[in-house]
Amino acid sequence: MFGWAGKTIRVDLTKGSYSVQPTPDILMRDFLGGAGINAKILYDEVGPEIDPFDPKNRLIFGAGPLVGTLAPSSARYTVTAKGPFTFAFCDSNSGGHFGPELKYAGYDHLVFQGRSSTPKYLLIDDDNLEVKDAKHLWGKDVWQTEDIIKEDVGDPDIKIAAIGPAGESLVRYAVIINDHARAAGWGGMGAVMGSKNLKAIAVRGTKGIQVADQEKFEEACLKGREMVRKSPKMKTIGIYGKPWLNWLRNEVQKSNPTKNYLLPRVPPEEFKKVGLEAFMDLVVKWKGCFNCTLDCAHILMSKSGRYAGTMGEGFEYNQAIDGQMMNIYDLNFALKWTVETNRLGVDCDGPAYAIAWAMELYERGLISKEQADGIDLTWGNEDAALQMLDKICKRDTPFSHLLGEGVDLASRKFGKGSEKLAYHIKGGRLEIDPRTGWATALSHATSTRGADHLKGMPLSNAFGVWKNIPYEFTDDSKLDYKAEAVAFFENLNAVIDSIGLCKNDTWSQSAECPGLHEFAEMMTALTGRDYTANSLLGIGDRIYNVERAYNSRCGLTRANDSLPDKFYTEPIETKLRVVDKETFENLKTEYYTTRSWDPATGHPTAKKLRELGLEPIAEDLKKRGVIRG
Amino acid sequence: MEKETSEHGFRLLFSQPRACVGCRACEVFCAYHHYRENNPSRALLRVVKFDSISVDIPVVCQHCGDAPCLKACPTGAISRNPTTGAVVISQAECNQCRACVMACPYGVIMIDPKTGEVTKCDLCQGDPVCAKVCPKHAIVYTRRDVGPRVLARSANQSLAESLLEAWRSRIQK
Repeated sequence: MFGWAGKTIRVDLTKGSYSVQPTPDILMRDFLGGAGINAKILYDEVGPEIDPFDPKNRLIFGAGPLVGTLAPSSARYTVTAKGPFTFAFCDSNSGGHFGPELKYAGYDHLVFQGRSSTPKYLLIDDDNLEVKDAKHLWGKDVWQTEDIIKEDVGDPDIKIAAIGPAGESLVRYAVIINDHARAAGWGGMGAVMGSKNLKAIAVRGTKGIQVADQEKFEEACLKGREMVRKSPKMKTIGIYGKPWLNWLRNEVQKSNPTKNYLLPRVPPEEFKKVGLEAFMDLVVKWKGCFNCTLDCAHILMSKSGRYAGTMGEGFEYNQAIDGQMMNIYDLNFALKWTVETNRLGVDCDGPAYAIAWAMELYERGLISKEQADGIDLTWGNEDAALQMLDKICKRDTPFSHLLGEGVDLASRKFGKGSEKLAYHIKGGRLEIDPRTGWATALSHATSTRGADHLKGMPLSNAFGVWKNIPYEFTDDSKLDYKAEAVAFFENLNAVIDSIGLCKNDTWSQSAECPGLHEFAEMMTALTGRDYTANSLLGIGDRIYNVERAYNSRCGLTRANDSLPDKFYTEPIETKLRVVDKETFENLKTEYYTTRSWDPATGHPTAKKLRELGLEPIAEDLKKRGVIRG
Repeated sequence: MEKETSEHGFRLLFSQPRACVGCRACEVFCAYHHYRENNPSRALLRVVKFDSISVDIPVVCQHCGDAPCLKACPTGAISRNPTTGAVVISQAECNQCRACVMACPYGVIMIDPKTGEVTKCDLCQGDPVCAKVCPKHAIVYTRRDVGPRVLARSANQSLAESLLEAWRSRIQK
C-alpha cells in the first residue's frame, strides 16, 4: 500500500473491544481519505434521529494519504461526528504531530462508537492496541493528561490527543487537543469524545509511509516547498502569523467582531493595544506543525502586568478577537485566555462568545449578578471572564451550564429576546462579519458546519487562476463570480482536508502556493494512482455533496443558510455596508444552481448525486421524502 | 588521538535551538534520503521536543574529533570517512553490542525500529539533507571553525538588539 496506511481501527467503547479492518479501497478511490472518508462513514452510520451525545454517534478520526509525508505542511488530521451545536454534519481539523504518528503506526482512520462505563484511553503502539483505564486522568487538564500518559507509557515522544475538563462535562464547544496546543477546535468534537468517556488517544508509530514513485514524489514535494518559501503572502504569515488578520480586518476591511457586534470594529485608540506591534512584543520564538515551511504559530510570553510570566503557544486571529468580543483590549489577556482554554480543552471562541452574549444581557438588566453565580459581568471585566471560563468548563451551576450550551441553544433556552443577540448560523457562532462582502456572507451562510470561513470562503485568487479569468477576490463588494467562487473553494478545501494538507500554504490561502495541479503530482507519485487537477476537484465536489446531503437528511434547508437579522439591517463602514437581503437571496439561488442543487430547498438533487456516483445517498434521501426525482 | 587530515578541516552540522520551530522536516527528509520512505522514527538526527516548556532542540551528530563511539566499538565497525570527515558505521562489521549508543555524548546513535540495526548520521556523503530543508536554518552545515561563529552570532543576537534599543532610547522625542 502506497500513501495510505490502509487500515482502520474500530473501537466499541461500550464493549471495550476493538477491531482492525482494511480501509475499503472504494472509499479511498471515491473520497481520498481524511475528511472525505470521515464524511462518508458518518453518513452511512449516524442517522438523523441520533443525538450528538448518543452512544450511537460516531467519533471518527482520519488522516489523509499525504499526512506524515514530505509534502509541505502534511500535518492535518480531521475529526468528524454529528455536531453537538449544529445537530448536523460537523468536522474539525488539527495540525501538530498526532496525525502523522497515526499514519506511521499504520492507520488512516479511527472510528469510535458506544460509551464506556468508566473513563478509558486508547493506546496505539504500532500493531499493539489497548483500551486502557483512564480513571486517574479524569478531571485532569489536557497538559497534565499528556504528561501523565507519557510517564505511564515511558515514552516522552508519544503523541497524544486528549480532552480536558470541558470535554468531560460536555461543554458543547469542547475541543480535542494534541501536542499541547493544536486543537480540533471547531464543532465540539471534544464533547462527543467526552460523551463516550474517552479521555485520550496516545499513538506511537514506526512503520512509515511507502511511496510508489520515490524520485518523482521527492521532486514534487520539494517543488511545493519552494513555492511556499517564495510566496510573499506566506512570508507575512510566517512572521506575524494569523493575528495579521486582525489588523487586516480591523484597519483595511473595517469590520471586526467587537463587543458582541455592538461595535463594528475595535476603536482606533484601543486597536494600538491589540495590533501587530503589541503582538510582536509577546513573541519569544516561532513554532511550526509537522513538516511546515511556514511556521505561523508562536511561543508567546507575557512580559509585564498582571499576566507576566504566562507562556504558551499561540495564537490565531480568533484569540485576538475573543477579548475584543468581551470588550477587553489587551493581548496579554488574550494570551492568558489562550493558555487557559488550551489547558481546559475548550474552544477559545465558544466561551468568549457565550460570555459576550451574557455581558450584553447583563448590561440590559436581563441577567442579575445573583443569576450569574455572583460574577459581575460588566463589559471588559477580565476577572469575570476568566472566572466564568473556569465555571463553564465545569458546568456545575445552572448559569454555567447554560453558557456551556453555546450561544444558539443558550439563547433559545433563556428567551426574553436574547435570541436576537446571539450571532450564529446553524448554531455556529459568527467569527467574521458577513457585511465584509458577498462571498464572505455566502460562504458563512452555506457552510456545512455552521458559520465558518474554512469550508468555502475565497481567501485567494485561486479561482481566477483556475478559470483563467480576472477575479477580484480582494473586492468582496462586487457580485461577479461570487457564487461560483464559493462553490469552487468548498470543493478545493474538501480536497485539501481529505489529502491532509494545511489550508494555509495552499491555494486556499494563496495562488502562489501549491494547488490542484501540485496536489495531483504529489498524489500520483505517492500512491501510484492517476490523479489530475480535475479529477481531484471532482472528488471534492462529491465530498461536499455528502456533507450537504447529511444536513438535508437532518432537516436543514435553504432557510437555515441565512444570516442573523442584524447583518441585513445595520450598516457599518465596509464597502458593502449591509447585506441586502433580496440580493443575497438571489446570490444564494445562483449558488444552489451552480451546485446543481434545488434552489427552492437547497437540497442536492437526485440527478447531481447520481452524477457523482452517490446513488445510494440519492435513494436514501428519496426514501425519507427529503428529495424527489 | 585519531587525526583529521583535511587542511581547513571538514564541514560539520551545527544546530541552533533558538531558531528551531520543531517541525521535524529534518527528520522526515533524513529518513527519506536514507530509506526512501516517510518515517521520521528512522531518522539519523532528532528534534528533542520539550512540549511542556515549548522548547525544541535539534540534535545532530558532531562527528567528534576524538569520537567516543569510534573508540567504544569493539569490532572496528565505526570509522571516519576520509572525504567528508563523517564518523560512519559499517553494518557488515557491527555486532549490535550498542556500546557506541552508550558512549555517544549527544544521544544521536540510533537503533533502527524496523531492522534493529545501530545507525548514525553519515552527513549524506557531504551534502546533508537536513540542513537543506530546515526552513529556519536551525541546522547549518558549515566549515567546522565557522560553525561556532554562527552559533555565537545567534546566541548574541538579543544582546545586539538590546544595545540598539539602548542607543535609540537616547533619541530626543
